Amino acid sequence: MASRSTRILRKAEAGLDERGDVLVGISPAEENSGVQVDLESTLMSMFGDQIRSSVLGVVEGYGLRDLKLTIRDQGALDYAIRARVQTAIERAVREGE
Amino acid sequence: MARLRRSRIYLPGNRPRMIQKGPLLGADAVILDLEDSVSPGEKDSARFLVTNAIKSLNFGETEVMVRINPLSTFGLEDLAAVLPAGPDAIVVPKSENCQGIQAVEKAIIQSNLSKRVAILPLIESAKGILHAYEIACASPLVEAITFGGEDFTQDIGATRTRDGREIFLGRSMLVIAAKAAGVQALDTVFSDFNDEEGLRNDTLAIKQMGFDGRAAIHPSQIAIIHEVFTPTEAEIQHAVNVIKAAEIARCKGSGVAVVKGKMIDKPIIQRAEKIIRIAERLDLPIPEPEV
Repeated sequence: MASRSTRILRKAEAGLDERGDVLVGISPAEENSGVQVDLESTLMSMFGDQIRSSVLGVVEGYGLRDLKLTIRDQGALDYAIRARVQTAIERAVREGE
Repeated sequence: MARLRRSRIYLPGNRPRMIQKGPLLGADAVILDLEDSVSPGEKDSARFLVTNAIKSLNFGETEVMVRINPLSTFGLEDLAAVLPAGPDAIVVPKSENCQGIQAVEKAIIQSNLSKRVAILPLIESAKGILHAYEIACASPLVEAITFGGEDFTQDIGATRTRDGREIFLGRSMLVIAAKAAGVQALDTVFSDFNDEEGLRNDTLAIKQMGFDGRAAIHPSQIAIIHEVFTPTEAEIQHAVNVIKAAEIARCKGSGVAVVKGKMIDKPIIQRAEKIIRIAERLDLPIPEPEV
């Protein structure tokens, strides 16, 4: 199994462009620039804060600090948002590719 | 008694909208699929989605099965990802021998879950059918063996037909192996989801053959499958009468019971008891005996 880096090595994406899902893009960022989240959601006014909180919770769980995330949500539930962020991160930190 | 598995519907493991409809479909089981409905490049994504869905969504009484990939490809990675979430059952595709089932059993035991996880081997090749009994006996976690008609047809070089002549013997052999091993026999999908009459007739035929349930590929198929596999009022009444007649005969010290002029023997009593168990499980009314 490929080992994981503790930083973002490459751009990666996850999710499908369809209702009930979310497209997550991730890319490396300059050192000490922090976690930048660019979020758009069809349910922004109702769930924007909650989505942002879920996304940041997953990032924190991986101990990652400097990265850019683009989130294009089409009404995904929390479990799906977290799954797509996990996938994007795993794809971005996998070594040996 | 094993869980009721009249219907189990396949849901693609990488499609959130379809997964979260699962608990609302009314099927006895959902199969969150990591195999055929997920492209090779999306296996990682589907694993996260299925794992999070099992942890987060309330599936209620619906049994949550996960179809992993064959053990020769991504199956072990799938198990490592999904087992900690605690699915109710693992469907093992392309099962052809007991070693594969024992590898899945080992992974389940090593996951140290506090719940039981059943194994449902999916038998879909000529070799698998010839080893069906050995597969069914491979682990005490095997609760049912299931038939994959489409792959089986391809494997034996036949063409799939509406009346399913090409899979009749494979189905029969699977039922016999399952019953000999004391596990359920679950049948394949009926692929044409627009053909309701075909589905009803085919399901009646497989029930007659001894199957305990079948798979669905479309939500519209669930009601028809349940209609066939749910005992009718008349069947329940007959079952109650049979059990009562047998009880009376036993009390009288007679070895022979009769219902409506027909002799009741042990297999008939056992069938009646099975109907009552299913009726009770479904909270159907149990009438007084008419004996």
